[in-house]
Amino acid sequence: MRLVVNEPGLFIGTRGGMITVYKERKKILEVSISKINLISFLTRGASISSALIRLLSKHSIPIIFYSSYGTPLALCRGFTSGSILLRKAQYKAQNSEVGVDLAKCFATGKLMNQRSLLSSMAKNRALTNPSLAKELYENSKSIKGKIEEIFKVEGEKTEDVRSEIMRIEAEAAQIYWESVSKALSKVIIFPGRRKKFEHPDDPVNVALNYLYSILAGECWLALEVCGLDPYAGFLHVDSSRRPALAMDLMEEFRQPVVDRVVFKAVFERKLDNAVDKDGRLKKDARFTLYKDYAERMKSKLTFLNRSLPIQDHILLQARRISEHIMERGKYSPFTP
Amino acid sequence: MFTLVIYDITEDELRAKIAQVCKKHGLTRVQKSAFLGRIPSGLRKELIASFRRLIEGTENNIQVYVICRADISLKIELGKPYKGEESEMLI
Repeated sequence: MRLVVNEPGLFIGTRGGMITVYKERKKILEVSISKINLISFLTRGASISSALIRLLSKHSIPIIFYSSYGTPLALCRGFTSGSILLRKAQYKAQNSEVGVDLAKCFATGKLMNQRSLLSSMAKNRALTNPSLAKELYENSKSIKGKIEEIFKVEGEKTEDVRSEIMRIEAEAAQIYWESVSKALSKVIIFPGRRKKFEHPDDPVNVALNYLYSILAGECWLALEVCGLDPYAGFLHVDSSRRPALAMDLMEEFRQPVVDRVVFKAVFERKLDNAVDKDGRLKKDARFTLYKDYAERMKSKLTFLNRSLPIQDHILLQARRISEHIMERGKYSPFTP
Repeated sequence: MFTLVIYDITEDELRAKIAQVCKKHGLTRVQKSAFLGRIPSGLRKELIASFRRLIEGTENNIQVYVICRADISLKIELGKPYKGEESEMLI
């Protein structure tokens, strides 16, 4: 379980080895430390005691602080042990075919999941809206064509293949978001995908950006746990402001986790009136979205013959990246 | 494996302490003096060790049962269910 702090004025401390939450000096929650695996702060104005931070780091439970746009601001966890060999191999892999393989895996994983989401949408609409279903199906087929294009890209360094893969990926994304926009048009106006720096104010884009940022934080955490450097990416270009490898790892989890949750929320009418005038999610909408997201993270999917919650798959995929870099195993994209 | 703890303790202070220990080890209260939860066996051993320390030399009784999932699904509950301590903040 995760403890989510979404209200200013709360105090989170510890007493007798348990996590306690106080509101206006009254204890509202007492929970055993063994039940919690993550604490996330979605709001400001809550306080946390140093005794609790000691206890959490002893049990290696991380705390993540998020901004109101969902950006992970701070990660609080115990000191990691050194993994210098892995990190050195990681930097070397950026200039070798190992990195090219990984970059291709991340991109194809994303496209395969986009394709399967579109075809499952088409399946659901086969009876109610056959013409739309046919169009979605055609589009999912053309994304399949793009996957084959990515396999054909060749190069010795990640720098050589990056722009080509990104171009194909962008074309596929164009097809994907156009289809999604058509599928959602009955319920909500979705003007096409707008990224965070474009400051969208329609609920779908705001919700997508919010949950993508939260997912990025968790991918970041998974990489840190495995000892990888989250800033040295393969598909995404190295940058000091954005963890490129976390973005890489996130690509294949975008559709099965975030897109599904947001589209479901749209059809359940949870996103009507969810955005305030600054283009931020309202407090209640933020919490319900996070709740659906956490529920989705806990639901079990089968991948490589193992049925596990998605959050465990993220950790395993991060570990597979490190195995691939050390050339002890092969990475395969997460396609449940 | 599930762990069921039931106890019969006369002193108020000790009884509260036992309940606290159960909660600390991740069990949830299912009745006034019964706790149930799915915890790893290491944690259960720790729990039993703390019980032993607490009730040593007193005239009290604690029973710990280990139950598998197949058997716990045969549970029958009658009457008004015990009100658990659920919270919105835990996901």
